[in-house]
Amino acid sequence: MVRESGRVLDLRSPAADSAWASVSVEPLQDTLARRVADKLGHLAVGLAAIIGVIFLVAPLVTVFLASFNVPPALDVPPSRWSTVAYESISGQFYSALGVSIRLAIISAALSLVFAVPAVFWLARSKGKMSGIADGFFRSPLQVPEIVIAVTLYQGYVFYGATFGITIRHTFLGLVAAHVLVITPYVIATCTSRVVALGMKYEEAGQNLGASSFRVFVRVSLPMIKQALIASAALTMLVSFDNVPLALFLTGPDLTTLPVFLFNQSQQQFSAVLYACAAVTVLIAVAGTLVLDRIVGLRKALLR
Amino acid sequence: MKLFGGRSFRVGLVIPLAIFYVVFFLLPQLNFARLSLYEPGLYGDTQGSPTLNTLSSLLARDFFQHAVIQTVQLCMISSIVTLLLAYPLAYVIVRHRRIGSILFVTVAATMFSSAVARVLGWQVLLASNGPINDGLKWLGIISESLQLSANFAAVVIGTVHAIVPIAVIALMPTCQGVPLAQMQAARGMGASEWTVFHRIFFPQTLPGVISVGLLVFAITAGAFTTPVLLGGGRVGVLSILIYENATFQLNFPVAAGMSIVLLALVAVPVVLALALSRRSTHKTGVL
Repeated sequence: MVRESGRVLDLRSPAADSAWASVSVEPLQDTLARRVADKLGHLAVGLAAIIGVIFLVAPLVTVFLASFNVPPALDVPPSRWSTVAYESISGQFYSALGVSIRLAIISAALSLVFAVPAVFWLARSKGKMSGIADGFFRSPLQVPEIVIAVTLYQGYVFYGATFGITIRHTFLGLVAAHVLVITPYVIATCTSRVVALGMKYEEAGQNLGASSFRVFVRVSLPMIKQALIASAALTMLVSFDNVPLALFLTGPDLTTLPVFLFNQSQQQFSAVLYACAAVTVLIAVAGTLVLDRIVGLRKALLR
Repeated sequence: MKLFGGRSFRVGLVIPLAIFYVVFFLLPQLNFARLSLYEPGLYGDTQGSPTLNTLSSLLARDFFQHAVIQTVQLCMISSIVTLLLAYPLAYVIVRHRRIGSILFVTVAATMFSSAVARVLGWQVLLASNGPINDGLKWLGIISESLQLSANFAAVVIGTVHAIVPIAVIALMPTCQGVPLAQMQAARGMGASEWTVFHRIFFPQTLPGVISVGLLVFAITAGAFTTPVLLGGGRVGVLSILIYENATFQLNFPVAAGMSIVLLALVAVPVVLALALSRRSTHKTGVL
């Protein structure tokens, strides 16, 4: 009989026998073999992770290093350090940056306006229809962006020819394309939050006499605020960096930042181009840090 | 409770989005698929009556079959290399909180960085007189510069770089799903880190790893920006051929036929991954 924290354990019972049979009775020793295996394991995992990080960061660091050259040169690291490339960034870059910022904000806002009410139905309706609808609304994510771009280009041609609607080469057409591409992210981010929210707060609000609309605006939306911020930030970052859509849907007088960089990089590499690229990387890093600060990256990116 | 009054009003919540999807997704997709049933006209339009000629002659062409093979090769190599790089990162991020959060921010920032900027970085790194060649020469491993840019290898490197962050984020929920108590119990009973990893951690993450691999395959198949910029005109994967047919040659029926094949190629891993996720209960990230 062993007395253990007030409870009496009968060591002779069959249950105890079988439980003890699988446990080693010798005191656990930190053997040399185990210590070596531990060290080697730590080393291998650490090394693999370090290789991964260097692989990820190397090209971005290179962009920054290359941008500090004196223009004709493009050495890494620069033989002569200078910020002259940043001073010679052309006005086209800034106007493209302006277009991209407007595009990102407007498409993120529109995507939220379209998708958030729908999420409440998708997350709560238990019918078979909502499952099918959910799959359909997420499906643009599986279609390669180049295919979405070409189909929309031809779709706009088709709408122009049959209904006389001019949407090709317009800012609105570009916005619609971006809303389509980013809506699946909004749906994915918000659905899990709405499911986790449950109905009890809204029921409380209604029982206290608030109208459905008032409950939606004053209870439901504030409760999923973090998911809304996360989706907005995520979609802005995604739409900020889309080459294929803008490549097909912008006209000569409408250039987004990614397309500006894309076109420039097919002509000639210069320190100025690298300075432009470095600015976009800085914006992405800043956006990531802000997202991490406000919502937390784990919350924003993982369900 | 019925949000917004009656049941019909709740369905009403979904109607604006549904209309948007019909106008900007469903109809354009169907319209484009229809184009593949015509012969190409002279000025980017179509001519003749519906026929399967365009599709069947496309499928029989050598350059097209070669493009499909090259796309599948790129996807398979990229998936394997991506998993090898992403798995240790996801493991460290999940198991070591403090280093993990720094790593996670790095991974996310890389993911959100412009694809063109990343490619520009690789162009310098992989150049024949770039840091990698210089370093290898200095170490005495090679005597003449390796051709690392404007070829298939460069496309693989660039594509893997674009997808590793996505794979890490998709692997994290799988890695977090392994109960810490199990690993601690194994440690307590004398298992080494390595034993814990390959007897407890790895087997439980394997279904997730496979479905992330399939996801990477699907994303790589549709990748465009990185292959077109790093391939230097020598790598003809499907997405690049679609782009060339739709812009320079204005041959939309052929572009549509290629898009259908590309969609089929993407659908295979997506359907497999769905089937797999029905059977197990692991989760993947938002992406």
